[in-house]
Amino acid sequence: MTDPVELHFLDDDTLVPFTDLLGASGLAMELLIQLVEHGIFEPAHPSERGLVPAQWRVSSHALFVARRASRLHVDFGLDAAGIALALSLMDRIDALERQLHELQCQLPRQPR
Amino acid sequence: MKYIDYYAALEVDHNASEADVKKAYRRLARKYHPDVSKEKDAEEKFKVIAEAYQTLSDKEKRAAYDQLGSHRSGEDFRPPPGWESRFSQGGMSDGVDLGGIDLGDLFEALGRQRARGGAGPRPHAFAGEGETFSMPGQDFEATAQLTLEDAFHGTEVNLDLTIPDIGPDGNLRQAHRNVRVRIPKGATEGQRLRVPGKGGAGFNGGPSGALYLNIRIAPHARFRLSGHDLYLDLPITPAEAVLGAKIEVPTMEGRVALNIRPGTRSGHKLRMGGKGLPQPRGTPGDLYCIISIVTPTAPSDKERALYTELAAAAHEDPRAHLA
Repeated sequence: MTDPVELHFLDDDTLVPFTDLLGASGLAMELLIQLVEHGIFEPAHPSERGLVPAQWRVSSHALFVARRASRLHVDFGLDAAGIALALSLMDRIDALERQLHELQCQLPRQPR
Repeated sequence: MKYIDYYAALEVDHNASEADVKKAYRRLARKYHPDVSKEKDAEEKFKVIAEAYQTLSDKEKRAAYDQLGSHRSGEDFRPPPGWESRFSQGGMSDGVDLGGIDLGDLFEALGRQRARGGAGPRPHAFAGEGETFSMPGQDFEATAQLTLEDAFHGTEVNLDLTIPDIGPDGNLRQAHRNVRVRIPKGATEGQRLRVPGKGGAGFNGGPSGALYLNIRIAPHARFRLSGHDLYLDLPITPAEAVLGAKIEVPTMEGRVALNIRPGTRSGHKLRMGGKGLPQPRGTPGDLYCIISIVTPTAPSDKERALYTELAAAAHEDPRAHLA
């Protein structure tokens, strides 16, 4: 049997080239650049801000965001502005749900 | 091949107009899209809805679908004789084994052939004669359900994946693949991982797709998980709460002594630093013990007498602020 494959976390610590978002999402560079203009993607290192996005490195979490953006684009026919709005709202919902879950964890369960 | 009633999936009549089909799709997509829906089985439901829309919103595909005749959903069926050669434009000839693929793949393949200009000679329907056309493999998404213990120690999981890809003969096929992946310790609920090159195979030199893995952690009998932190209900007696105590609490790595300070109250959160789940990088999460003071349900005569004495001696009024 072959060795198991090691997985990579999609998180804020692992960096990938911005151009990886193309293949991962299937989105056109033009739309990705529009999403950059809406503030959805930014370089992991502020020092790369002066470069064009194709030269950036971004957090690997951006792969997930780009794939979600692609689903919103394909499945709902959203344009960049719509995708950016939906992504921001989803982010807020995710954050609120995490907070709610954390608070629920602090409530003691009814014993027996 | 199993029949799927695409009209029923979109909740429209057989004579629904293009506009009706689009309207129905948009309504159902908002309800069942896995990115926005909290409905149970949203992902499976949306897959059928999207398939139905892709087929019924395209005149030619809809005509091809209608020609399959009417069957019950889930019923095993074969397309009528001549169907493939009429609609698949040489991609799949009559008699080719369609048993291994599903209806959605079939119609997706029809669309892909048309996008490629169709009519590529078999067996290389997807790559026209003399063309150096290549296609990246499909990305694939899977979910790994782990126990808390697995997540804590890291684990290996076997994933049985069914990945639609294109065989060496140029035909669409369902490839079964068993992928053994090592999940490093520190994965937690909702974490996403990626394995490059483990999705569908690329065609004609195209790169393989990636496998995206979502982590789910099953609820644990003892610990509640939030991010990398763990929460544990820790019942103590009224005497331990008043006088303080040294007690043992379970952690993911065995029992550990914990000091309860005198005057501890219900709902107090005692933090045991670093006793949560490890992080892929940086400091591990914490274990929080949530204190609940448990009163005796059947106090003995002696306990009752002592509590009566205590009540008489008590000099603090916990309801002073309500006076």
